[in-house]
Amino acid sequence: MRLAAELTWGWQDDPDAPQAAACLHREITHVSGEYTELLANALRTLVPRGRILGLDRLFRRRTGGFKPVRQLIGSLAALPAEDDHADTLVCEIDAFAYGFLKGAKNLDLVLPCSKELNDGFRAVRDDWSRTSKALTEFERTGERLPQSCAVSADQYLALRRIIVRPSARDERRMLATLLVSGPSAQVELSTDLGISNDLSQRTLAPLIAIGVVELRADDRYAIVSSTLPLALFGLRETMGLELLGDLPGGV
Amino acid sequence: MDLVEMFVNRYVIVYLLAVVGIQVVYSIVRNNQRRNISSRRRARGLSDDVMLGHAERLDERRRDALLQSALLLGSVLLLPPLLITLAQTSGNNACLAQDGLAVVFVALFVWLLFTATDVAKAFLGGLAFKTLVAFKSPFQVGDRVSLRGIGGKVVRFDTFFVTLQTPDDGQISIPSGTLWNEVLSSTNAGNRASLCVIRFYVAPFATTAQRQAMEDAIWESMQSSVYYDPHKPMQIFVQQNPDAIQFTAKAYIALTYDEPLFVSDVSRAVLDAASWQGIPLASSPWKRAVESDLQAENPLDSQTGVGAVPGTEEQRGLAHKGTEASSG
Repeated sequence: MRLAAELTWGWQDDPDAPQAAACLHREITHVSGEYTELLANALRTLVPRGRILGLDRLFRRRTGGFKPVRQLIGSLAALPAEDDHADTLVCEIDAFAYGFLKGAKNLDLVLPCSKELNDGFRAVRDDWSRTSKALTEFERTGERLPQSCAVSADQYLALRRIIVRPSARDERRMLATLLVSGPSAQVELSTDLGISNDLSQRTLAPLIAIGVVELRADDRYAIVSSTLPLALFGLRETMGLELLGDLPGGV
Repeated sequence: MDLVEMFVNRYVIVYLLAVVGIQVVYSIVRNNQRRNISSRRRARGLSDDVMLGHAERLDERRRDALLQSALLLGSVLLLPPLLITLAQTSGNNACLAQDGLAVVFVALFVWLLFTATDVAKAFLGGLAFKTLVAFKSPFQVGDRVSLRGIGGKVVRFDTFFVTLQTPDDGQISIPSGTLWNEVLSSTNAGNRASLCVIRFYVAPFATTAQRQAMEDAIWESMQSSVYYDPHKPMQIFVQQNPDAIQFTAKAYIALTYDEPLFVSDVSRAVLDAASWQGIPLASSPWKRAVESDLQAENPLDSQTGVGAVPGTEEQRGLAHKGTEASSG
């Protein structure tokens, strides 16, 4: 079956929706049988057809965390195209998870990122890029951020005060983990980073206090959507991470 | 009298003042610019440390070095013909001014090349080296380098010295002009990312499944580290050694300074995985020697099972002896 990626940002999807990848995977693995066959049956009953949501929710950046997403995508790609199916199955996936999996697992070979599907993301990415340039000049020369900038100097200075410290290693790791793995429960963050629950709580607290991280209704922590360009810039300059740098030119 | 007039005329004085003056003015302008930027940054609430990767500031430094060299060479080489033309058009004592400038120009060059003081030689050698580095970029400020056998991060690179910060936080200053004939090795060559090589050792009796499990564990541990750069290739090589099966993993770190943290992250994750999955790590020769000594002292131990079952001891206690890391 031909697959196409539609990049999302801000983790606004519902992981319990019937079309959600996490829900689909959970239902299939709870039943005994061959994964690909069960997936084909599940897709037949899926309404509406032709789209899977939140593929990134099946993935965590830790040892053993790659398996579910690999299994689902591998099985989807192996399914034969059926006449009554849409020509291409669109899989929604968070842009940062996609950027990481593209580099680490060559995800784009089975799940290519088409130009047509990603007009929305392209506009957002251009906006982030402009913000990043403005922040670079602000940091380099102290030049004021333009009025059109998506973030304020106060927000930037607040985050900067935390992550610029050489001793703020866990704070930077926390942000990097939240960026790639998406909304996470506290215990997941502690496991991923190999730190105690106490420490993860202490690490999250200042990031929540400055409004860069929020606790969502489902008890998961996530980077606030409007502060994504700040987190991106901060992680690029302090850890060298540039997750969107390798996306195809058109996207 | 003619000789005195030849050297003490306005054209020669203008030439010498211009050569020195251009350098002084350039230095004042640059310092003034830096002070303005610094005070503007402070007014905006930014601390003195600039939170930008060193690659971001590379172009600025390169432009600076090129401009400084161009000003020095340009003033020394271009001013004499200009002044001679000026003297010829004005008509009075043109011949004398021409001779004076030619002699001063040659004298200045000979002095610079052969008989200058150590300070001047160091300045010129350093400036020439700095200019070459700006063009060829064998290394830049912020790079992790090895110069004359000393490894460290380049924290300053001026006309006189290259200053390195060693991993033990020592500051080493190497005269810039003396680096012409040295092998220059840069780990990251102006980039943020750099290659890291980590070696793991598995016991020679590990089964096919255990070897595969080890390879998978290394692969996922590297990619799971937040310091890993996913946009660069990663490789694992397996090699049979007399005492162990060696796994050599090569991956890029997103920020070269984070190499120790990356190695620590990956080692911990791989050792955890080896422990959970019962992958036997190789024991070192000294460990085996200690074990055999202990067994010789207390032969009952071998009957109670400590070290008696192949692989058991390795699985339990040799976590920290199973890894080794180095920069690529």
